[in-house]
Amino acid sequence: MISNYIKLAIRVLGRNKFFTAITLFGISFTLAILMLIISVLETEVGETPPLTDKDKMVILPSLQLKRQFYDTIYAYDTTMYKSAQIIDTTFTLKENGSNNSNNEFAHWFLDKHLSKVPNAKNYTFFKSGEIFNSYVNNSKVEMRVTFTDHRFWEVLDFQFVEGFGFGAQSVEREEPVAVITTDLADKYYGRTNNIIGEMIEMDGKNYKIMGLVEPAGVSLLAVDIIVPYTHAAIGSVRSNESGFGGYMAIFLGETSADIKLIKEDIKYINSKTEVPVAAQGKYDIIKFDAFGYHETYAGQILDLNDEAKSLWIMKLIMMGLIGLFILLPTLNLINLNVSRIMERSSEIGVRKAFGADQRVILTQFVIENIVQTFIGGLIGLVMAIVLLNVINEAKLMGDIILKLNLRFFIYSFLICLLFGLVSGILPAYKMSKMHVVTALKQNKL
Amino acid sequence: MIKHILTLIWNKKGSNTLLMIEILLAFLVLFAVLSFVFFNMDRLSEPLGFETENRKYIRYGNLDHIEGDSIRNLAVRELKRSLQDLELVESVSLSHDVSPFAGSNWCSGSDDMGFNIEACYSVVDYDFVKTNGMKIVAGRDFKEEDMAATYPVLLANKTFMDDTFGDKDMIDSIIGYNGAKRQIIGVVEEYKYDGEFAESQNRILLLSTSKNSSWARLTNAYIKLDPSADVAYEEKISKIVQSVVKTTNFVIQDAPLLRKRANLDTWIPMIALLSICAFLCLNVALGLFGVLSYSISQRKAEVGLRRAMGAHAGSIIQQFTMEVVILAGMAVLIGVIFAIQIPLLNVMDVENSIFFRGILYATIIILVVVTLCALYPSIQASRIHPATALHED
Repeated sequence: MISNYIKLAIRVLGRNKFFTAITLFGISFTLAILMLIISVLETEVGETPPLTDKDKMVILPSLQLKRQFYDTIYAYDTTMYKSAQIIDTTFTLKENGSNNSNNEFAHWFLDKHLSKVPNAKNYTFFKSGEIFNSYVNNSKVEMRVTFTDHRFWEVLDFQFVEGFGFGAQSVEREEPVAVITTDLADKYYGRTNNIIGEMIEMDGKNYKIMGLVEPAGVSLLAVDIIVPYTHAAIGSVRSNESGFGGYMAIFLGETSADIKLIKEDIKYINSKTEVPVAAQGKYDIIKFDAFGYHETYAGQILDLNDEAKSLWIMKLIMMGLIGLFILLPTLNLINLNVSRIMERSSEIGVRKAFGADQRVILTQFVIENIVQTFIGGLIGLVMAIVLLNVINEAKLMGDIILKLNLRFFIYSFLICLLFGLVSGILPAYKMSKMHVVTALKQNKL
Repeated sequence: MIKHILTLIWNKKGSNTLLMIEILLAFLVLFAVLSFVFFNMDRLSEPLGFETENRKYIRYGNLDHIEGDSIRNLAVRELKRSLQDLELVESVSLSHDVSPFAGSNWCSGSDDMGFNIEACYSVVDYDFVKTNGMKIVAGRDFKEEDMAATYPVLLANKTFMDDTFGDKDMIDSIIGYNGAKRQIIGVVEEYKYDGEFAESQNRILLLSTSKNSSWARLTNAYIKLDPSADVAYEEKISKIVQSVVKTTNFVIQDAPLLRKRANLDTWIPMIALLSICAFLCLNVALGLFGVLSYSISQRKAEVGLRRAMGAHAGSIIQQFTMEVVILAGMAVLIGVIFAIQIPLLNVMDVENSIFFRGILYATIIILVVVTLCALYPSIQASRIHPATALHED
């Protein structure tokens, strides 16, 4: 039965080339853009390496030191009481400006206070954002470096092309070892294989390469070379003593339910931690909040100083935008189909006259629409893949490399199905409701 | 005529409602996207305030590996001197962390003698204005001797002067800012260090004093190069910086490239939104065209009758086009009622004229597109010969 419907649907598509072209154009473009959006979301917030466990991750981005100033506000109320004036004075403390420093952590601070979070199964501290230059064959190579510990490789599942990450001993003994990305290998050596054992120069030091990884392709981990943190310039005395340094922490829970517990642990640790001695003259409040990965992500984009709220607002904005975006082409398709009901009236009339009930006809037209959507979806998929490659090639999204994976195809399939259903039901319902006599009266068999 | 058209629209209220919702949605999307575009274009039209051509920015940071402010101070001075000595370098300037396109921001605000003085500032050396090609619109530029002036000196941008003091001439006045009494010696046209799409805000350039602690905190260098300097010259600069700061932990960036990249961050979403918007409009236009040509071809009998009664082709075209335009007009009107709430209620902290322009242009685009879509099927309908049309029924 269904194969009959499909055959019929394809026949119908060929009947009126003009309308088919309009419909397919709308469907394929809409779906192509939706697929692009899925791909961006999947890359940035989906669970792909090296952040497969991101739903179990808690990120501690920064330390805030603060001193709050207060103002005393006086209010005078005068009342007449027994012909004498009585003055009633009230004063309230009002927050009036603050001194505020917000920055990443010093390594010693994390090590001292946050290396024993009870509910965290694993954790890593890392410092990103420094860039070193090197000149290879008369061209400049910029290396974005991350300093970290051996647990970095346990918490994040970087995809190793060759070799492996450094261990605890390498970190402790300050061994000059490095893991680099294929991007950097290509720029530095002009090849992306047999790199293990090569030396790479950074800041006047030679590092032995022991691992080659695929670039992370997400904004949080924009990095080219990863080395043990014991190599980081330890001289930053001034910033170090106050607790600021450049390090972030990621904690990993056993399950995603642990996120809440880890956050509470960190809140408790915060309440027990005092302002570092070197900063006590300037600040008296210390605050560090941990967030789930998605909250951190939304916080980075919206910058509201409230990560949980940012996530909510971002979800709302995203859903609103996507909703609006789908609604227009859907309405368009519905309009087109509704106005063309009469085209099919004779067919409906004959089928009804031979005993087909409303449900059968409804099913037929919905399936027809879904088939149409899938043909459009296929074209859309091709367009999306072409666009994806263009975006990746031109590096339009900066460090983000858009990926295609199984989930992308599943989501795309679901979206096609949904789109087909939503845009098909109303016209199909109208068609199936058509009275036999009216349908047959349109005498164009 | 209009009453007749309204009756015709009412007769097909079911499918017309759907059409109206579609046009309404298209209007709202257009309004939002156009407002966003106008918002950005307005900012782009304001001057940037500094030049980037032939400039290189070097960020060498805190030099934490050099212990002590006095030694660090020497290193920073040595860096400036040795860069200046290069043949193709026209001028060199230094500043602290707040530099163009870098994203950092240091601000300070206070109440001074009844003026609410609020601005974001950069600490720079005396060659900054010259090196970055900034324009002085009043007063004078920094001089090397100013470092030892009784009151630390500052340059403010025009936005700050207008916002804070109105029309008063404040050159050489002393104001309290960032914890010290400072003298305003001049006004620069603008300094939008966040990039061309940034809002024009209050900016102040503080001259670094000759104190050790002040110079030691200068973390960025700016070089104006002779146009003949090529890419290989950058390596030479790099070697000199490396020999002075004793690390390779510094970045040399191409200012025009940074500017382009910063602009791209706004251009990309803008172009993406505009192309999605154009696609939606095209989609709606094609759909409308399909629906109209189909429904008009269903009304052949009506056309035939009118033609037989003496209506000429023009009036047939007019009738069908008017029908669609009135329908679209009603949809747009509803859209305007929604859209106008944003400027009227001051929902967003943005200049209201942007939204009014957004409404105006969205309305024009929708009406033009709809008219074009209606015109072709109407012309087709008007060509129908009365005899053929009446024969069918």
